[in-house]
Parts: sequence; structure tokens; C-alpha cells
Amino acid sequence: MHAALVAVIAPLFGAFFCVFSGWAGGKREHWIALTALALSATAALDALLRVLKGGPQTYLLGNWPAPFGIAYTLDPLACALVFLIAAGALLNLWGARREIAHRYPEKDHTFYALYLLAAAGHMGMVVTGDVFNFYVLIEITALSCYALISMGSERSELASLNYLLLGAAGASLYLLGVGFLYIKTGTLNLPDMAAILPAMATAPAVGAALALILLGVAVKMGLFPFHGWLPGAYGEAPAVAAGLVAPMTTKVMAYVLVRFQVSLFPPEFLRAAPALPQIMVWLSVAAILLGAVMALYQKNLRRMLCFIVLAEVGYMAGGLFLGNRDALTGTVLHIYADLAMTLCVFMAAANIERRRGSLAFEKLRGLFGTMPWTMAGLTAGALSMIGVPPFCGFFSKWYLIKGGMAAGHWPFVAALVLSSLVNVLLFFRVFEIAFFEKDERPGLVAGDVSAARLVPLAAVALSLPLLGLATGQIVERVVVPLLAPLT
Amino acid sequence: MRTLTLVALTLTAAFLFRAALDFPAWGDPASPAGLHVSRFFIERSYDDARTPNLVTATLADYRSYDTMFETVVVFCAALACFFIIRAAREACVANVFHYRHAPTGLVLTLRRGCPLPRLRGRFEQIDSEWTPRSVILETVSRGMIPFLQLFAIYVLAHGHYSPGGGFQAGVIFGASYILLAVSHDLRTLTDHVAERTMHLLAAAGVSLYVGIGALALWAGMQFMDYGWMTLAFGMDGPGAHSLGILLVELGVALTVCASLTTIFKLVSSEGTIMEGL
Repeated sequence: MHAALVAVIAPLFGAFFCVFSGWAGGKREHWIALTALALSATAALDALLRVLKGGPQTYLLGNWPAPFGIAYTLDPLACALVFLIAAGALLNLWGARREIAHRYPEKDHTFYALYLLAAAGHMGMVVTGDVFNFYVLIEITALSCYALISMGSERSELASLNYLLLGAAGASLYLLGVGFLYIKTGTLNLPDMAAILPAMATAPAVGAALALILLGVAVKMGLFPFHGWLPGAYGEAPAVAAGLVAPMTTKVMAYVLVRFQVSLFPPEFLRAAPALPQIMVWLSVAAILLGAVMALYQKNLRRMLCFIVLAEVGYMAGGLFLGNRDALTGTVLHIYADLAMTLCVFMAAANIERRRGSLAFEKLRGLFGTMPWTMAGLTAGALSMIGVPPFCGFFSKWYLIKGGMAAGHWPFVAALVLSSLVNVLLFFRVFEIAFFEKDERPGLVAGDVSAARLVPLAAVALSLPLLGLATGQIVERVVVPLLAPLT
Repeated sequence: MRTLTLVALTLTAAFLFRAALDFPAWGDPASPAGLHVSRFFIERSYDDARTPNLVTATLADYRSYDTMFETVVVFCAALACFFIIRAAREACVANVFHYRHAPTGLVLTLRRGCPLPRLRGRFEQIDSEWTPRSVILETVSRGMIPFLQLFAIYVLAHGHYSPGGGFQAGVIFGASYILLAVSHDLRTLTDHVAERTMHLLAAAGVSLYVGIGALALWAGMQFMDYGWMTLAFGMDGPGAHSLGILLVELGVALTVCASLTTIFKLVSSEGTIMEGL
């Protein structure tokens, strides 16, 4: 099962080669980066097909037996997410060569290297089955993202610093929790730890450890009330970097929570602290409402999208802590769906920003006329975020609502529906400006962006209904095996 | 707000103390951390990798994959520093140069391309804000730097037997460069090791590490299994692991040394790599 490994180390080598190439005076970094990501996506697809065929596998790094060395835990859930991350990072970078060369003359090789390191970090977090290795990968991802984010608009350095301070606190909390668990169990391997923990599920140190881990991941995920860094960091980042971090980071953290919920947290622990899931669901409700309300006040497309991301984090966390089968299914589906649709809208926004220079609402006038293809992509993403069938956003929301009803948690259901309605309002306001208001300013560049930027956007937009139509397959082949041990 | 913070901190501290009471006693030989996984390392590390230093064996062999990413973190930090604070190349080309005439202490400020006047005595190039050079400091540092670097190589090579290894060696080697910059000036350091060299070395270090791991794939083994050296160099298993540890530690040392020096240069000169401190 070398495929999963190749998926992670191909971008690493790509990053090193970008640095070599840049300092040797080459101009081939863009192609190196695309090749590395394409290799990574192919390998991830191969790994996915293998686990779908042969069931979950472990990959032993250094060939040391499982609890002693580090092992990957590969199942369809992880491999599919790795594939989406690699493919998303590839498509997002595809048409950005000129933009990067223009924005970072003399430093473009470093941009590519950091981009690839961030992509590798995200993928490594997904496949690893070792709680400490996960922390190391958080470091890589976070460090490269801080650097990428800080080189956007004039306010992005402050936003990045804010993200750095909160993110470092979150990662430290996670590490502290891992330290506690190691003291109590003597292992770092996820399946091994899951086997040991039930015997000591009610020990105070274990409870504290799990609470710290939960808190740390929640900070990194941007769940209310730890969301302060998110809108600034994603809103001010350079467009290409935002297209990488906004779809990926929060989703990977949600994936980790799913993984821990299903295979690490012993059921006795949650039973001993019944208030904890309740609190988390209420925090999610607050996140959804806050995201929806704040999005209404934004005057900039990207900032509006950031607050929608905030609400989406609430969807996933809420579904996760409702804890029943439908809600967990909805969460897993939403991880995939939200990755694809956030990528879609951020890529469309990047295209608009490239042409118009800014994403303030008054700059969006007449976009349907001048940039029809980009707007078609934005519309597809918007319909999916609103939850229109057959786009994938509909199906995940459907399962989440079903889960909320099954748990009898009506506030969560109400918040979900309300936020969908607010999304309708938000996107149609954008469409109204872009469709009906005409822009008569002189010197406006007419025409859509280049095909190198439109083809990847079209691919992502097309994946939305395809993911939606594949819902049955995903549930049957990814979610059902994942949740099988719970019943 | 202050009171609120204080209350939150007190509650967290109480919560953590409560959890800490549940820990095994300090130094308890029967604690889980000492029994479960560590026992494997203690019993096997010499036979597996011919490395009496358990820490080295654990971090560079059993958990080598983690250490690989830790090295990439250091590399990433250097890249991030470069990306954020490196000034544009135009800003890094000086228009005026300052020269101090050693016998008289006279400072000449010349435009680029102007020749120095012919005077008796030596001219030395100085920073725009000049601090007198100390002969004692320069001489002592010049004497120390070779020994520091030698010691770094010793720490690297002796990591199998005593505390040390790639990270420490890299830090000591990097410190020798930083000492050069502190005792002389940044220009002296840049004359010795160019920015480009340092970036290439940093990338070479991580490439060496990941490459050693990836060569195992070529031999049909799992990533990071140093056993491929038994096929390539015809040595026994533990010897191969011992050599593998040394090689990855070398990669770590290269990256750490080059990254530290790069970060120091960038931060001390506000991104221009010309002068400063």
C-alpha cells in the first residue's frame, strides 16, 4: 500500500525541488508543483480504489510493528479525503501561474514550496494513525499556512498573526492532551490507544486529556467561540492561498474529530460526561447562527464566504456530537461536500478578484455579462451551499436534519434550515448585483479569465452534482463500514 | 475582562491539577509509559540498530517518520521567514558604501562605482551605523569557530552513543556562523556563505532525509525501512540501521544549520541581508 505514502511525500519532494529550481535560476516551479500534486492525486485515487476493494489497511512506516513504530490507518474515509485534497490543491493551483509570478516576483518558488508543504501536511494528517505524528503535521500545515496567509492584502499580516497566536494555543492544548494520554496509556498509536482507553475511561486524567484534545481541535477548526481568527485569516489571504486553506483546514479538523469520536473516545467517557456533547451541539448552533448573521453584514464577497465557512463548521461539529447514525453520516458527507463546494466558490471568487481587483460588492456589477463562465461556477457552488438537489450540499444537509430530528434536537434543525435560507438571501443578493446592475466604468477589462483558470473551475463545479449523485455509494461504501463498530 | 481571564485561568489550573493527581507517581517503574511501548525500545534498540543511545534509536529509527516531518518544520520555518521578511532585490543593492580609514578613523561615504582615494593605510568597509571592532573579540571568536564546528561534527557522529544527534549538531554549527556574524559583521558571514548556498543546503538536508526513506520503496520495502542498505551495501541488518540513522541525522544537521543561519540573517538585517544587528 505504497500509494497512500506516495500521495503524502510527492508534494514534499515537489517543495524541495521548487526550492532547488528557484535558487538555481529556473522558472519551472509551477510545473514541478503541478506534477507533484498530479502524482499525489493519482496515488491517492489508487489507494482509494485499493481500500474500496480490499478493506481498511495499515501501512507500517519503517516496517516496525504497529504500536512501536508509526502506522497509517487507511480506510475509504481517509483515502477519499486525501484524494479530494490532492485534486483540489492541484485544480486550485492550475491557472494561478501568472498571478503568483506577478504578486511574488523573486519569491514565487518559496510560494510554491510553502503551498506544497501545506498540501502535504493536510494529507499527512488525514492518513496518520499516530496521535503525536498528527501533531507534527499540524505544525507543518499551520506554519506554511501562516506564511501563505500573511502575504495577501495589507491587513493580512495582522490576521495571520492573530491566527498564529490562536493556532499555536490550540496546537499546544492538543499536545498537552496527547501528553496526558501517553502518561496514562504508554502508547501513541491510535488503534492501540483505543484498545487501552475503555478500561480507564472514567479516570480524571483521561477525561482531562480528551477534553484538552477536543478543545485544541475545536480551536484549529474555528468552532464558535474559538472562531475569531477564521474570517480575518481566510478573508485577507491571497486568493490562491485562500483557495487551499479555506476548503481544506477546517474539513481536515472535522475529519479528525470524526475519527476520534468513532475510534478513540470510549463510549463510557461520553456517558460519564453527558453534558459534553450537549454543550458542543449548542456551540455548533451558535456557530451556525453567528455565521449566518455575520455573513449578512459583509460588504465583500470573500468575507461573506468566510462567515458561511464558519456556519459550515457548525454543521459538521453539530452532526458529530448529536452522535446518532444519520447525523454522523451527514457529517461525513458534509466534509466531502463542503470541501468541494467551498473550493468551488473560492476559486470563482479568485477569478473575479483577478479581473476586478477586489471582491467588494460594488465591484461585482455586471459580472454575468462579462464573466459568464466564472459566474456559472459561482452559481453551482452557491446552489450547493444553499442545498438544492442534486448538488452535494443538499444530501449532507438532509442527513444532518434527519439526525437532528432523530435526536430531538430542534434548535439544531431550526438553525440548519435558517442558515440555508440565509444562504439563499446572501447569494441572490450577490447575483442581483452581478446580473441587474450594469457597470459603466471606463477601462474595465471585458471578457472572462483564461481557460487555464476556467477549466479547473468547471471541473470542480461539475464534481458538485456528481458527488451529490454518488451519495448512495458514499454512504454504502464509506460511512457504513466506518460506523459498523458503533452498533 | 482581567477578572474574567483570572477566573478562567484559575479554573483551568484547578482542572489540570485535578488531572495531575491521577498520574502515576513520579519515577514509578510500573507506570504505563515505562512498560508498554518503551520496553520494546529498551530491549531491542541495540540489536535492531546497534545504537546504545535509546533516544537516538527511537527518534531516528522507530519514529523516524516523525523526525522527518520535524526537520521539514525547521525547513518550513526558514522558507516562511524568507517569504515574509525578505526585502525585494532592488532594496538590497546598496547605493552608498561606507569606508573607514583605519589609521585616522576617517569615514568616507562613496557612491557605487566610485574608486577609493589612494592613501596610506588600510580602508575597511563598515556598516552605516558603525560600532568599533574589538580585536580581542574578533581574535577569540576566530579561534573558537573551528572548534565549535569540529564539536558539531563530533556531536553528529557520536549521536549513537551519547546525547546529541542531528538537531544539536545543526544548532551548534549554525551557532558558529552566528558567532562569526556577531563578532565581525553580517557582511563577513555573507561573504563566507551566500544566501543561495544556505537555501540549497537546507533543501538538500531534507531531500537527503526523505530520499533515504524513499529509496526503501525502490528496494521494495516499506518507506523509512533502512534495511535497503543491506541490499545496496551488503551489510547486516543492524549495521544498515545504524548507517541509516547516521545519514538521516546528517540531513537533519544540514537543514537545521542552514535554516538557523538563514533565519538569523533575515531577522537581524530586516530582510535585506546587507548589514545590521
